[in-house]
Amino acid sequence: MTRRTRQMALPALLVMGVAAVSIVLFGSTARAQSTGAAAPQPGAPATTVPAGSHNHALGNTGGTNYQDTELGAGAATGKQLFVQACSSCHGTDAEGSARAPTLVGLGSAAVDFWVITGRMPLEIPSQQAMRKNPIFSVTQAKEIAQYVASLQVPGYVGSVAQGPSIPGSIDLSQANLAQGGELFRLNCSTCHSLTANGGALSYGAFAPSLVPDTPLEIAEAIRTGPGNMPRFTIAQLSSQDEADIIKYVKYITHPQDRGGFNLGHVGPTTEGFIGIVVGVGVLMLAAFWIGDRV
Amino acid sequence: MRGKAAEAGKKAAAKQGRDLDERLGLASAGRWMLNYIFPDHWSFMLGEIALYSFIILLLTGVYLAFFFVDSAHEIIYHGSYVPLQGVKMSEAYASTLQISFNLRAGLVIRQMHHWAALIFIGAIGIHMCRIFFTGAFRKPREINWTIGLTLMILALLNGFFGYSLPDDLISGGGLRIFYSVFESIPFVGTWAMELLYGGPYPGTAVLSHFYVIHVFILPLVILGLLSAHLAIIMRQHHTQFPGKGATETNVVGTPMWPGYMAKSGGYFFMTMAVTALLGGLAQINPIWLFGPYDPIRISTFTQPDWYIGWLDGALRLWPNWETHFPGHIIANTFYPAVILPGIIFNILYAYPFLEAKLTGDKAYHNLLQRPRDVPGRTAFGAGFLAFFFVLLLGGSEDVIAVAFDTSVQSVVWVLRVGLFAIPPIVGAVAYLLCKELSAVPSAGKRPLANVIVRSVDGGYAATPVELHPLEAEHHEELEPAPVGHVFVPEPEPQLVTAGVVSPASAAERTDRGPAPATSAASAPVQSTSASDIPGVRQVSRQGTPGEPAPRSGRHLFFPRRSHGGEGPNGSNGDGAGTGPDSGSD
Amino acid sequence: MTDVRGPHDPSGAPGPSAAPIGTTDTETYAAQLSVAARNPKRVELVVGACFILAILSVFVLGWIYTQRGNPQIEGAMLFVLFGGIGFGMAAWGKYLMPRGPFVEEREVLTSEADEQAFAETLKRGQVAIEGRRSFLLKLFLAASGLMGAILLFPLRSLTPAGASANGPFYKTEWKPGSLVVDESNNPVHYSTLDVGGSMTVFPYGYTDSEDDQTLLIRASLKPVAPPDQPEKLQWSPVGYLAFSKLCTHAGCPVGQYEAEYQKLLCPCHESTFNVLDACAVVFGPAPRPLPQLPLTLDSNGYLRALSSYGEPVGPGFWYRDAL
Repeated sequence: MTRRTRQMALPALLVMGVAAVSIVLFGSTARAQSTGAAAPQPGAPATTVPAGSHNHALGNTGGTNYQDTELGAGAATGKQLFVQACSSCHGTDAEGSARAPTLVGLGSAAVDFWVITGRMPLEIPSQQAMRKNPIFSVTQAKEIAQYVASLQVPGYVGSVAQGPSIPGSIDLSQANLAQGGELFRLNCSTCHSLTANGGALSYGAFAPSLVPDTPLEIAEAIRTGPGNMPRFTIAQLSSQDEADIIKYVKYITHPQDRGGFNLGHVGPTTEGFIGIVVGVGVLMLAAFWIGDRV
Repeated sequence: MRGKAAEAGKKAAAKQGRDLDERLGLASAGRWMLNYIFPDHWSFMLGEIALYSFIILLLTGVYLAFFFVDSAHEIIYHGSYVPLQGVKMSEAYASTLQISFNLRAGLVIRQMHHWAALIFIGAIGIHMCRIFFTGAFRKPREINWTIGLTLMILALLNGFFGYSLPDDLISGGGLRIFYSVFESIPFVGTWAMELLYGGPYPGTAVLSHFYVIHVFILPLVILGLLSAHLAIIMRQHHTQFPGKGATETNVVGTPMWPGYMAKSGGYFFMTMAVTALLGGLAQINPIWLFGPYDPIRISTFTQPDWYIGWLDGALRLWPNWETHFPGHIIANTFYPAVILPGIIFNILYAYPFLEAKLTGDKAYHNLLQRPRDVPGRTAFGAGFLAFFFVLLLGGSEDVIAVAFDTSVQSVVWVLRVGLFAIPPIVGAVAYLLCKELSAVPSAGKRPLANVIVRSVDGGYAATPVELHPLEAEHHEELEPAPVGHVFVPEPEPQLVTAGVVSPASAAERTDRGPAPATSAASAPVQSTSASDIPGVRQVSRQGTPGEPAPRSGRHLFFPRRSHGGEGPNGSNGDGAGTGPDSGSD
Repeated sequence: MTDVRGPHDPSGAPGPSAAPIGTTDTETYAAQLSVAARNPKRVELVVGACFILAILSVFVLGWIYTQRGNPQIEGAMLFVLFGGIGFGMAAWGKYLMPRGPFVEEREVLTSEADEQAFAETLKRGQVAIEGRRSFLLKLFLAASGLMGAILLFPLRSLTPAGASANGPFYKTEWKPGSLVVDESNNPVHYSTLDVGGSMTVFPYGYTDSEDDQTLLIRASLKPVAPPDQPEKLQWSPVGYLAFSKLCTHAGCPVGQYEAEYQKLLCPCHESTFNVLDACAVVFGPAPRPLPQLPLTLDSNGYLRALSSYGEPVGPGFWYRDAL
């Protein structure tokens, strides 16, 4: 190493260190801001309690079939599981705490969605909840959901104040793929991308990829709007619309790739990379062979 | 029988050739053409990648033009792609679906067309870098640099117009952004865009206007400029790297016929092969997954093709400034998408003249410089490229944010800072690397192998290997370009056994004097080394008696050549090494 | 350089290209012509194999074409076809052709004498523009220049008649009392959206209009306005807010509504707008907030526009402030 290189090494290391520190700082700033996901921002209305304005399921028009939540043995087991796994943040009666919002009035579909996708129990509270292996089985998740749905919103009687219930069955046989595509591209692709690969939102939040989602999870997410996702009511998207969208999502996550290897469906970014690195790169290697090296 | 037919055939061909020559006078010009010499270095083939990709674009484009319908008229789709059945779309989009699904070779040709466009512009970029970093744009080639830069800009534009033709959701979004950017131009912006789009956005005729420009106008202009580009090269002859007998007044290399035609023609087909492989196996622009364009629909993760991606990055990274005058504004998009590329291209256009002024160098240059020998220019170019790449990264900020599990905000700020911090650092590093490389005489050179000879009593002796003449060609050391300073070579370490490696031959080997020194240096060494050691059999690669002695082929092209020293120790002594073939002046 | 004659010397004497480039020494010339490969037979086999592969791939290509085509097989076979021919040709050229080296001299591009002669030839035309005739030259230039200008006029028809640069351009069809409808022209009732819901709406009858696209958001159950602009509470019945969906940066539809953060995000260049602050810009390149459409409820509970947008929607342009 010449003296010049040694002279250069210290400033270079300094610059790299500064760059690394600033990236870490910005990154952690971003993370810190996304704790907003756990607590609503100041001034925002309580978006997690949709009491009074909610449109409940209005009959079966093909597609998703909503059942009334059954209060009974399921709810009792659910309460045990809830106290075990959820009450440390959400409170023993799901009333919420400084760390987590209240769940009363959310309805069973919301709770079921978060639990069966493994997002709850939350792994890293300062980050957006990530899908992971659920710790509860499907039945257990239903039980927890039934328990939460059985909790009364103060001032309301019966199930009127509850959010959407877990869909009983999802019938895709009458679903129209093309109509689903049109609706998907109007409502969903703006956050989840055209090929349902997910997308970036602000301050570290993101819309997840829909590839691992089951039809049930998609239906629940559409109706309950988890996290930053908007909530789509029956009046806005009918059960038929919902079935169309679900069928389209199942298609677009494994679409017809007639052109060959799909490069991850990311789009022009990867295409450009491959075009230059593989296309021009291979041709440069060919030039190395044909031409002289000196 | 066959001989007679062949004879007759040859006679007929000769007669035809004579007839043509009598009418067109092809013989002398033709001969000049066939004798035209191309330098052998691989970096001269980068421009060919671009040229051949353009030809591929023309060929595949003609096929596509037969089947594409350039109409924005809305129809209901009833074709074979089920997920879009019954969807309202433009005829352009529908025809692209037809090409992709219903023509037997449609999709592979369509994808080849798109991949060829990416490779075309990538190759132009790399070719431009080669021209820049080796100083090939200096007098008398400034005009060709200007033409080449214009070709690059036209290629960018044509690519943009081309991928906007299918009218899918992603490229349609790009059309909207293009409209907004150019309508922000003061005075004429809104008027010009209405002209191009056929009315206020979305306009009635944008697809058909773009079609005429993409298929007709720009390819013609590109063809014309390309022909001028090639004609000027042939008129001025190629530049070349110094070494191997290259001078400012000659060209050393392979003639057009038959060598270069074969190599370059082969390269054309190899370019087609790579494009076809990508076109068939790697899906690109699957517009059926995107849906037809609709001004109220959009998606995330939408980037333009990479050669426009740097402009998208500029749009994303630019702060939200807007300039207000009484009654008028200069909109935000004007600065990053009109002014910034204007500045960048103007710097590039002016560069040959700027550098000539700065260095005071107004001489003709036909010999290239190694980048390490012009550290200032190399540093500037490296910094410029770094700036471009940061902008390119900026265009994919949301993809980066999700891929690295961080926020868009932090990516944007890192890139904003990086836009100013990284180019100077890269430039400084490049500068220092150049200085390092020039300071070390053997940098980048392949050292010769040594043959280890073992003596009877266990001693080892090392002699430089005698190369086969073909190997000698490839082990030819690059003559260092004339530089202002004089460097002192580091002394060779002395081997333990005295007398084997004489200091004189060591010095010859390291400072790489006029001759390639392979054979010239080896002759005296061998005569003092192993044969002096009793009982040792000489290991040599000279020819056995009866076989012609190997020669190092490089310095044989001047009529005046000394045949000296074809002795038992092999190679013709290249006394010619000290002659006019010493290469660089 | 010694030789000043170019390749097209009209004198007929052979130029430097006449001699075999390289050397006149026949022995050396023979060496130049020898092939470069050390093992020519092996190279010949390889080149031949490449061409045979290419020929075979043609048959596969033909067959697949009769079978309705398959892009992957077509691409792979084209690769074999072109690659075979290409690699064969290149290897042929590199290893089995005259080894060289070859040198040629560059032609001198020009000389003083040539330039002089050119200038003299040009002067031949002098007599045509002497005296009064110089005025002819000026008239000719004037005529040609004007001709160039007028021949560009037909391009004006690229824009259909009636369109103007800043006329109805960014004035939307929203008027006081316009019924708010969705993409299928269905009116929007106040019970349609839940808190945290969003949808794309238009004025009744204009669902195809790009400029009128509006994002309807239910941010709350109660009216929402920035703290320093309480008058805008009247624009937000039962928590509904309506903003122009055209981003003020470059015109993309601002579709991303973050229900929890109460932000609107434009996916094109990541401009972020704060919904609770009348879409003020909090990040990104958008220079102005999204224009807000004042809303009201009619007697049947359907949403209507209270008035039109107070400013041109969408990105900026030169004349915007004058509108």
